[in-house]
Amino acid sequence: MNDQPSFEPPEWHVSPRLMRDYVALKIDMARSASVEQHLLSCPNCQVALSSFVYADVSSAANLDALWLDVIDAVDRPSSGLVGSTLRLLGVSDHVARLIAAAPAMHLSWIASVVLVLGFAISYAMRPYGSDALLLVLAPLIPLAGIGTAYGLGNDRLYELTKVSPLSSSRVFLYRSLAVLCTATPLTLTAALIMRLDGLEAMGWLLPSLGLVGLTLALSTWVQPLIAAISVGTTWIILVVGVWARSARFEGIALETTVIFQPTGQIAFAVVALVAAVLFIGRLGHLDTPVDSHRGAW
Amino acid sequence: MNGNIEITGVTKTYGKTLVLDDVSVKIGPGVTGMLGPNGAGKTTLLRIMATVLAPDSGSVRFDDTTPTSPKALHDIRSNLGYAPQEPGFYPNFTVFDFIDYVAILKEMDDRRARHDEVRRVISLVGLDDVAHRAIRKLSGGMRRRTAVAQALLGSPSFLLLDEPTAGLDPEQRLRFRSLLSQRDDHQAVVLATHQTEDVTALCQNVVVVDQGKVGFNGTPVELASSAEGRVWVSKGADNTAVLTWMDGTGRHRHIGNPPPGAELVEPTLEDGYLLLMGRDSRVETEAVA
Repeated sequence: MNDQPSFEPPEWHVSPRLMRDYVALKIDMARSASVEQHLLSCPNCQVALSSFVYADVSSAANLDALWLDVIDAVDRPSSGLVGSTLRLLGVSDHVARLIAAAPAMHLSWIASVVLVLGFAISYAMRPYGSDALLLVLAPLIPLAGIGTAYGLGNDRLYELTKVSPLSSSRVFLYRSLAVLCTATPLTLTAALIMRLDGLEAMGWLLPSLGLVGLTLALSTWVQPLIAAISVGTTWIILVVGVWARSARFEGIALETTVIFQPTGQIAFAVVALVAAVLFIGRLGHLDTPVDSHRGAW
Repeated sequence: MNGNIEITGVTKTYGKTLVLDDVSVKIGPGVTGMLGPNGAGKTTLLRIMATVLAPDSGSVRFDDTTPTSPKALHDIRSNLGYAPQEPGFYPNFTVFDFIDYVAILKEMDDRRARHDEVRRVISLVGLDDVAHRAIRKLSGGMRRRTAVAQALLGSPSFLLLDEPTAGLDPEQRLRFRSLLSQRDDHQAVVLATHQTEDVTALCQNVVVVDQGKVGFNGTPVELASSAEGRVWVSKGADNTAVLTWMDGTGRHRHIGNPPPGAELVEPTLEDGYLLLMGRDSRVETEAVA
């Protein structure tokens, strides 16, 4: 007696209705697997299947297009969490990729922002803590992101970006906006957690915009990192200076100093506006070849 | 564009170091090899041509366009492919991701058309099998091919390649030569290299750069001819020659005056190049001729 299994075609066949449901993905996985297993060994059902597929696709040209879609879907670069989120928000595919590639857009950036804000919150929650740390740190957070978003030494593809027809200023601007869009809501959340209200809750916003504007404007002369460090250092000196001065005459609460009062807020709004005008006026300098002697990059 | 590049009086200094000294060269369609030792100024000249760096003085003209206005810069960069010596990669990018990203920088906004072009250049450099592998996991030769592939995007009129064959094995080098030989007739390819074999195999023109100056500008045959009557082989070494070394056959090759009993041979491009460099130090190697 021969124990070898026979390879005769199976006696049952996939019914037209089942085949139609299989092609239309309307059957469960177990039945689908059963149909596929049967199709592998049944030439009659393979022929029957092709008629269903062609009926659905309508032409060979469409099949080619379908195949290209498959290849494209396989090749499509993974955009990561940042890229996917941006696309969900309606940002076009290529802009999302330009933004997501920035070092400042990696998860480590968001984690760092959360860590810094968490530190500010825990400081405020201490028995003798205050909101001062948040007010000082909040404007510095976007500077750190913008300083590392683009430029020689920060962006590994800086040289290739520089020689590309796509304007470097656009890349820089997209990434700076993305930094602002991540840092601002997180800082706002921190302010809410700390239960700040009124001017106190938003006291960091206009100084932040002013410093960002200054950094962007300065970046048309020097590397963004140098611009960010210069502006950030100036901010710390200003805050500590004003705070020390007011501590002698008025009190020690940072939020009561002129910086966070209406006069200071208006001054920072003006700074932000002037810096924005300057930045727009000098945008073209980001695209010109690097002049190592005149400081342009 | 017609693939003509005219460099006029380009000077560049880094601090007090003069890197390029009043360089003037005309480059036409075809493959031009830029030969020179390390530190000669080739990369700086290529970066100026690629519009990365601004010269201290002088100009570079691409056909009728000089990169002086935003529109002119955009036009030139739209027709330029540039592979720097160290392109830099984002560590998590695959070959496909990287080239697709550069394609976005080249304003190829239509995703399907862009992906088709990315697949085309990946295939041209023979990286289909590793297209979805992270670049950090690739060998040096594969990374070099990746850098060349991105420069080929959009078949640019001006292709500037800095040491494109460094780190390639002989088979890959052959493939690269075959790739460049399929170029468009109107395309100007500039190849900065210190490997004379590449120039011999590929280039219609050769520009020798040494210590920031152009020492020679002509055809490879003309460069080889410049050593006509100055190249000898003999059994023994010769201390009076400009250069002398032992070749793969065990005989000594001399450039300069004939040593006793030496036999005059046809010069190669390498002989012409070495003679031009005018080194008075003797080289004793077992290099294959």
